[in-house]
Amino acid sequence: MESQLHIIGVLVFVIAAFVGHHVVHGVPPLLHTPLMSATNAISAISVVAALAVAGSEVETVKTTLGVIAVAAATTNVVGGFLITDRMLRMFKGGKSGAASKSSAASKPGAGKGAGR
Amino acid sequence: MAQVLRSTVAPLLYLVSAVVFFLGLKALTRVRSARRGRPLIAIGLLFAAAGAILELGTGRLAVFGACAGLGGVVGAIFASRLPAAPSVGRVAWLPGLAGMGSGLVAIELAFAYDLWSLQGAVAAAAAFLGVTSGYVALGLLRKPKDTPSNAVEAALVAACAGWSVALVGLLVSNAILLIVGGVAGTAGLALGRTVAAAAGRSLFGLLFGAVKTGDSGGYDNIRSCGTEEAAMVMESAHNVLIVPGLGMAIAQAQHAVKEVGEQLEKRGAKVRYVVAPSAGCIPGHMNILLDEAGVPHDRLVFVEDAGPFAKEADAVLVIGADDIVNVAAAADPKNPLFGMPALDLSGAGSVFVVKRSLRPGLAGVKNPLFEQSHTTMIFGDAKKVMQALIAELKSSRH
Repeated sequence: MESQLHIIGVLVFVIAAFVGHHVVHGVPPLLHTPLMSATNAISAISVVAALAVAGSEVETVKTTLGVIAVAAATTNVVGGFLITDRMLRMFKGGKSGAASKSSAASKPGAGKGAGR
Repeated sequence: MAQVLRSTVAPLLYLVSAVVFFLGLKALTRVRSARRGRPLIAIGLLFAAAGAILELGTGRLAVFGACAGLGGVVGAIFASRLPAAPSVGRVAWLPGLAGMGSGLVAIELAFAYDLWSLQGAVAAAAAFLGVTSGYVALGLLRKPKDTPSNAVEAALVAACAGWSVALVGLLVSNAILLIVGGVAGTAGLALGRTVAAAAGRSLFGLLFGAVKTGDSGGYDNIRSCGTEEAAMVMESAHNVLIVPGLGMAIAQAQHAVKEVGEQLEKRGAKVRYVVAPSAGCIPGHMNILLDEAGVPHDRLVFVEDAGPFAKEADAVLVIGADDIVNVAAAADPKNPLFGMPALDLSGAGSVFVVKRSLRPGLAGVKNPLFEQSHTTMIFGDAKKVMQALIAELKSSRH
């Protein structure tokens, strides 16, 4: 197996780490939970790691571990995304509210007219 | 041909994956674009997986595909059984699983290296981080209550999993593992710090139980937000109650408050101002200030009569008026506020409380409203918060 630590890899890692910090830093609290569940789902990139290591060789131990790793990672990604989706749907209020506003406008409209 | 695919197309897929993935994460950090972020991240992951399959060959794809299908079904069943707003502890085992997966991969790798070599050490670190993330996640499963420290631990689960993946990427020289793992690692850590900061604590203080002294006022379940979120909720509200108090008077925010009300009325909302005769420095202070700002008199409601309005309000904005909405203090004979009319907001929609800090008001006691799940604090000077709110409301119109 090709197994030297490439210095370029270290560079990529450090830059990625900085980017990760700056993208997420200072995110509004309302989004903490959905973002957390999204970063959680992102961890499922480990499915690629499992493929990378166990996908190319035929060896019982490796295959077994790899198979478990793939199953675990996909459970994470599917579960994580479904949960994130449901959380974010709760904020849809902003948009769907605007859509339903026209139907409900008749009610507050009366009060508005009286106020003017 | 196969060689070309591996050497050219796979890295391109990785590149697309990384870019899409950044855009998704970035979108998720702003309320207005959050819903766009999730599918972007999913697409990024798909590209990454496609790249990996291309690069690494398709030897036993069927086996892995079957496992992936199994994992997907388990994940979907799990997600469908959770409430829409599950406690973080019950979700954290998902990244814990990914961390475990990465840990297992690292353990496999460790077999291939001499433990005392650099690669061996990196593999051991990756295995340790992965297993730690799984272990912490398991611990979280037993904590049903949502506390800031649980949320921080959940963020760290994702961080450990991410770093474990990145280290594996370092070992197998895989760019997408390095990028995504590195980003997920620090994003998790930054998220942990942000969550801790929102709870008024430092990351380490929260994890190791140091209690911050200061003006947290004995509250332990406070949520706070910025004006962007508040604007998003308020702009879709049909009935809005504005409760001004001493804080508005001190900040001289009445003109800005009136403009917020006007912006909301332009969107078709019915806006009412709740006036407590005792609020402010002199009796009737709020009437005077709102009159000066030009709020029409028919929008004013006395606090004694405001109960029905509170029940039908979708959004309530309490501006430096915590004593007026402190029902517990008004019901306590030992409290200086005993017998004063107080507005019960427990049945209202979203309540936003604009306040400079969590220091108690005249009542000198906690306000239980602040800890209720529909209440969100907006910390800051009333006038500045109102001006920011106006800016948000205006910017979102088109």
